[in-house]
Amino acid sequence: MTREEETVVITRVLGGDANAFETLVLEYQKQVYNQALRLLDNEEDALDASQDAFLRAYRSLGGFRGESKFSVWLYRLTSNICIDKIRGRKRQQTVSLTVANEDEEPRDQEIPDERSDPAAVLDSAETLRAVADGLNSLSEDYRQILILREINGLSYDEIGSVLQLEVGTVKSRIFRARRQLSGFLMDTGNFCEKAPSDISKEVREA
Amino acid sequence: MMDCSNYQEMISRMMDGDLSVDELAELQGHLSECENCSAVHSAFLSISKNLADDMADPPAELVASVMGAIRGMDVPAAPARFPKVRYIRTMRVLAGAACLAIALFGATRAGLFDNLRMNDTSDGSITSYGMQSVDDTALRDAAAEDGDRSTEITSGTSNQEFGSEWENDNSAAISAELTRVIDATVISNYAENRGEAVSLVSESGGVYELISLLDVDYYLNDIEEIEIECDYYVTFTLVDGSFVTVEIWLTDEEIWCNTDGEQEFYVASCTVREFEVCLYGDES
Repeated sequence: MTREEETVVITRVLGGDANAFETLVLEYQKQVYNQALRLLDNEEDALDASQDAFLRAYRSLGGFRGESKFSVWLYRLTSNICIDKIRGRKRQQTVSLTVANEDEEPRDQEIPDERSDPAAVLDSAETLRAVADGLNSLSEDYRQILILREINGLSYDEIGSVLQLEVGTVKSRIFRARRQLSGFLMDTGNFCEKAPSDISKEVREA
Repeated sequence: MMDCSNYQEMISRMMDGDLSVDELAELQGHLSECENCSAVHSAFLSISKNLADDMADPPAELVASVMGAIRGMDVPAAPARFPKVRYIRTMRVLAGAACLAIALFGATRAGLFDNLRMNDTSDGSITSYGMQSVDDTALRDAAAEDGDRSTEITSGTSNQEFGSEWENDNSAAISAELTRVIDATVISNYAENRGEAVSLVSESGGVYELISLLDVDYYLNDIEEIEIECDYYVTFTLVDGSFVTVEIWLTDEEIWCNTDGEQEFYVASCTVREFEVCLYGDES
């Protein structure tokens, strides 16, 4: 959806046509949900966070000044909501490491078996899980920025506005996040077709 | 002379379409002769592909629940220049101690100070506000009751109250007013306000008054947690019923503020006895 199209929809919503908001929800739900899912690594929490993000966007829509695209603003809301949830978890310490580990097995089984090639499913699921685990191993900052880039597809400038960072910082942080995630995946035996130990060393030391 | 680390950063930028033609040529030259960087390139690509390919479909209930909730809501109003807010005055004692009281006021300055008790200490330099004690339930109730009331700038350092220029809020006036207030930084819990919600503590050693500056966005977070890791946990209640929180870590002689584990600021040498917080906003 272009910025102009967004503006038209937002104007209709602010004019009292609440149903018009559905256009925005439909347009961005996948991005928002996956952003939350990647940040929170939990489907239920991701759904909650996504609902929350859209509802807050709606309530705050009058305050949206169009300085960025609506989508970017929405991702920023989502990001903040998720970070809040993550920190809430940490504070309450209700998620122990043990529990988190116990969760992994059922999660593996939940990975949808929708790929056409059954032989590829296992490898693919394993890699996907490894990437998800690797993402979770990153610091909050790295995870957040990598998701904004890879899942939400934001530009460096847009990420800078979401996270209030200089573009130079955005570039280097994305690089460091990728590097660290690569290191994790190599250390855990993924991407091993290309001399894992050497690469891993190179990546970590770089 | 570029080393592999530089080239690997270029790989990252290349994937994001950030390289010039010349840079691209240089990188490709390097990749053709450096196995390690080629492997890094493959790894980065693989990460990107895996993340992009693994997009889940959102549950169908997402749209339904959002639209169901929205249909019961008012049309979102055009905002004031600053979001309407109510004021919270919070006071806590030294690190580790429980929060003594949290009181929320949606009222005018007079109403606010009616609820405050001024305590001057022996040397006269320390002034603290005592407050009525309310629990979270009362706080939330108060928030509900005060929903439609806009407020004016309400603040004070010792017995001094800010002048009327505050009522027409502008950041320059606020900044000017705060020039006499130094030494401490509060960063909100959220990236949203990182580096912006800079708040300040009175240098007088008197009331430590933390005033959140601009850009505390009103659509921020709910707060549910009570247990905190930090020493101070400041909560702003906002007009839509949401909350913004600020955490502060203290030691006896230093104030540390932490936003995300990566940024930790040494702020000042002082012992904070207590502090208050207010948000401001006018324009109904």
